[in-house]
Amino acid sequence: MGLREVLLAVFAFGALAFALAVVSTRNTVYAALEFVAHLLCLAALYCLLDAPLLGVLQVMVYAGAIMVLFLFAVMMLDIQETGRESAFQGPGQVAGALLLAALLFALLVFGADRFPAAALAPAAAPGAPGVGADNVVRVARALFERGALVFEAVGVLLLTAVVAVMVMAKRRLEN
Amino acid sequence: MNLALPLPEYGVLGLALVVLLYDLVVPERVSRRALGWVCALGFAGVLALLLRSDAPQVAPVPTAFGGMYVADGLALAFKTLIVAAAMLASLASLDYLEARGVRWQGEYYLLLTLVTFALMCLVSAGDLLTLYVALELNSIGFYALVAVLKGRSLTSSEAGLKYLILGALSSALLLYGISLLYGLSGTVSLAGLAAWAAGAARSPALVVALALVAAGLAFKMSLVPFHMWAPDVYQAAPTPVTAFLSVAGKTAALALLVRVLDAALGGFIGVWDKLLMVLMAATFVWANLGALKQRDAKRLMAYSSVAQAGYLAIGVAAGSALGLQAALFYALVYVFTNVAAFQVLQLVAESGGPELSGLRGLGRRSPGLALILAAAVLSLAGIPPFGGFFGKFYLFAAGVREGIVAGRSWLLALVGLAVVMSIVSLFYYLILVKQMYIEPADPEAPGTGGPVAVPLGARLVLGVCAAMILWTGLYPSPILAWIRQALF
Repeated sequence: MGLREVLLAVFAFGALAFALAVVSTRNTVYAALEFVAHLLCLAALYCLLDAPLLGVLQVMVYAGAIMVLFLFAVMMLDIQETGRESAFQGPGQVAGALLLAALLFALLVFGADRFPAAALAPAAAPGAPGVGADNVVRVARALFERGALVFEAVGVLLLTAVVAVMVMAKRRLEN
Repeated sequence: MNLALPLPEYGVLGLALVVLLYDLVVPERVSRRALGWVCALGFAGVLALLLRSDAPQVAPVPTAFGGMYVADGLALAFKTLIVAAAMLASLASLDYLEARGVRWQGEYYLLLTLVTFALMCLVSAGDLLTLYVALELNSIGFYALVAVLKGRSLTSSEAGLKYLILGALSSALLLYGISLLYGLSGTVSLAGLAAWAAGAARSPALVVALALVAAGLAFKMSLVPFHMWAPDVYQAAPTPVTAFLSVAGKTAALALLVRVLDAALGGFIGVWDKLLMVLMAATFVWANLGALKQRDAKRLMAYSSVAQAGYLAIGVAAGSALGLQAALFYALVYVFTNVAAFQVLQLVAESGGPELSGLRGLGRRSPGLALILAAAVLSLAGIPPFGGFFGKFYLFAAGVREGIVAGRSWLLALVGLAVVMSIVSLFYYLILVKQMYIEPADPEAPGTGGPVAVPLGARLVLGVCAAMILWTGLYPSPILAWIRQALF
């Protein structure tokens, strides 16, 4: 078992642990931060699985932009704690959750066996076109050569949307 | 890659930055009226740049960004129309916004420039991706421009909301169509689609894809039954925005129809021309009959604009070079005619209200304005010696020629319907003329006494438009030569 496998296991368990923490914490701000940690673990998994671009996008889009939105919403609504009770209420819910988890696991174990391996694309060798760091280069080339105009136009679109929203949403200031 | 190709677009973006910075730097108590002049001058500069540049005359047209941006003659000609319309719209907005004390003048002019930028990118789109992003950009700008009178006019907000909801729906339709096309052909580039369409087999999925794309574009062009938004939006939006939306938005949509249906999917003309012709026939009948019973002058002009969109589409349905030239000429006439009509209605509505009866006695009160409005509506109806006559003549001739040469009897029938409905349209256009010249002015009605005040901006707009209506009607050959050179 090499370093890679160890790291995979560490981040996989980390992702699970933080996911559990998200649903069991009472404080919503903590829950949001734990969700960030969960997403960062997933990003690390992507990087370990030779998809660094996906990992970086995961950090930028999910752990960055979307979580900031979540935190803003939480803080603006001023939700401190969601009631006194724990996330799981009574033995019925715990049993139900465990049952569902067991079902899913069984499906994975038995389903994976029956899945025709030929349907999957063969794993590309490291360093082949479109794999690993080459992927980033290709996406960057597409984005800044062919897609440069569209990329800039999307920037203008965001500016337009910001101005339009301000015109629409801002109440008239009384002098 | 030639990064200097989109120079006109850069110019408009630069203008947007100037507007943004002006609004930021100049203290809030100072009126933003000067921004209208800044925009008008900026657009005039870009217009001069466009008029000075020559359309490419040899086969591989210059492209940039790996074919995603196309600088052919079609794009050049349509951009010239769009920028001219933007210039006229900024001039028309000056006193309109000031009179209403609109708080968002800086943002208004910024959105106007950004929408113009979007429309320019739209007509230069060489790829469905560019097309879609530019379409969304122009839609978002227009949603806000339509509703910029919010707080003063409830109908303006309502129109903005309606436009937003229906616009989002149409974008979704178009996007579905694009994704199906991509799934079928494996490319989103218009040149790639054209190569694919030349040899591809027809399938049910293709018909669905074409129907969805045609529906999405028909919405932007306001062809029946995708016109539901047009009367409400045109009536309630600030009049300069209505004029700009009806001329620039529609000409850009026409360019898209040409690019997507005629150029890229021309191989499937037998599939989509039926779809398009059904839409056009519905447009002729519904818009012209619907206009007959309108009492609000702006709403009447909205119905008229929907009908005009149908005429423009004849050139696309013909699918020939002649049809394209005729459509472009008609679009040019239509830009100046419609802007003139809306400008006069805007000035008259300031004193006499939006009803048709507000026009009563205008022939005596302000003979100049009445004359220009009469010329504009007669041009829209297709009466010589105004530009609209040649516009309709070329369009119908192109349709008939294509119908006979290619043996497409449906096209002949459609042109016949267009001619009949064009006679119907004369009736409601003459209602406007009758109100101005024959109906006696009501002495009790407010603001019908003296002549209508015409500020400098409106004077310029009316002067340019009146000159163009007459020029296109009396001596169209230089303009036709320009169009032929652009669409070599």
